[in-house]
Amino acid sequence: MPLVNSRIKYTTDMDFINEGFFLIHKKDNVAIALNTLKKNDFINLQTGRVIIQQDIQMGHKFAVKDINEGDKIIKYGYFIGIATDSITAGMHVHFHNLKSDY
Amino acid sequence: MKQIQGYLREDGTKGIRNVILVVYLVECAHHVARKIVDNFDDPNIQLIGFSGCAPNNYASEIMKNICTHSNVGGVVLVSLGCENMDRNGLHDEIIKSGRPAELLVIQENKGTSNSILQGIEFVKAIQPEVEKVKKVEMHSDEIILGTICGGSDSFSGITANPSIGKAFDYFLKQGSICIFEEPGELIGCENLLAERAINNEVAKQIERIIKKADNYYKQMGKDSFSEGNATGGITTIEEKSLGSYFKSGSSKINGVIQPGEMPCHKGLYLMDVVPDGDVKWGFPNINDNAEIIELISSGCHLILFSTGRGSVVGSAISPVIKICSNEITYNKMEEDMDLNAGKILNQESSTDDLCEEIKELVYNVCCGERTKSEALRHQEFVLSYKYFNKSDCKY
Repeated sequence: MPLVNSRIKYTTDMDFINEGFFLIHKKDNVAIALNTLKKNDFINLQTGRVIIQQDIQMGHKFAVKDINEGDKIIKYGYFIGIATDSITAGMHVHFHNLKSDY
Repeated sequence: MKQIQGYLREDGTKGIRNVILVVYLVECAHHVARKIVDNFDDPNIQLIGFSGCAPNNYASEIMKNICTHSNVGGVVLVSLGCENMDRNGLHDEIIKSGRPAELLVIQENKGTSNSILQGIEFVKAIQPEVEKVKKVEMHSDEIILGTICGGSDSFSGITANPSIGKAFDYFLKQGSICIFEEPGELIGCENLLAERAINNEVAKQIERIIKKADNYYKQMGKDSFSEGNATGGITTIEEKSLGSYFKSGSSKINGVIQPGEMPCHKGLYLMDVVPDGDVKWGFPNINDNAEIIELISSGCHLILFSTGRGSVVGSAISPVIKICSNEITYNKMEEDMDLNAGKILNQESSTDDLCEEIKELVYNVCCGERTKSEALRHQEFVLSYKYFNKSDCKY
């Protein structure tokens, strides 16, 4: 079970400048807002800085990298659906650009 | 670690509680049964029952298992007299299990008032025998744990559920039996689950029951995905299911069981709560307590309940430990929450730390410590109609 459950485990590979998000698994291309993130807030990941493109409500997902239409959305290290549009890093990911494959 | 002293039953099983059940066998007997229980105002004298009058094998089976559960010391059955539940058969089964049991038939006891008085006498009559049951050492490999989630949010899958999963892994290593459930909340995770099956037959069963659940919910026109899930940031059924999936931990899955089926061997089991056959029984689980009772009917001593939005429920018969997924809900409803997994989000704690807290509380509750819902006198009980093909696979 490759799930890394604890943020603490990430402190060695990830730079938590902004405390307001949670990237669950290294493979994930979306992270979760732990409180409302505002447009133009930025977060620093090891892979670079991500600028939040629009307000993200607590508990909602945003892209941590650019995602093409038709790409898999990965959360918890697992597939949760397909991108229905191209998504820029920092954009909100929800019904408007993600659909179930079930 | 404290030594658990379990209540030894005649069949060799051990309970962590020793309750007396007053059971109405049809809604018409509910009032009399409630009045009997109210007279005592004792948390160990609990009211449960089945409302339906028409016969149902599933409900009869669950009722028999509940009345002979290891946490139960004695039973007073309250029958109107003309309902379909086989009161004599149920009474015989309870007596056969070595528990004191009395049968009160309202139509043969001059109606309401006299039946209430008679029922009170019956409870008093069995109390001494219930209280003198022997207490013996009980070990981890005799504990049966169940888990459910209710009112999940997008943090449940990060905090409370993986912590419960780790606790499951720990107890399974100690030889406990652990049961998780709701194939309808695992739609999309069938491959992950099947990979963990102990053999090919179990893998096929897992895939079959999840497919059945998907079909059942599609015909009902509503799956387990709710408006609240979407508002909380969950988008797809796969995403919701994964959050729920982590409650099961990472151990091998030994089998699929039906409600009321007792696993004979140690290990981890997935409970199939979705009825077999035509879609005619309504929603598979009308609320969280119906699921809790199904887990208890398969022997669970104790339930680990993960909640994000904030549930307040407990249960009759077996204690419920509520683990809150986020700090906001925890702070608002601390009196109802046993553990705060929200600490994980602000790095005060990890899922490993929470797992330790769960383990300690499980042992303490097994030793008699009251959970929050027990202390608040929550004793919910829900049993409805269902149909299952008799399982031919016993574990």
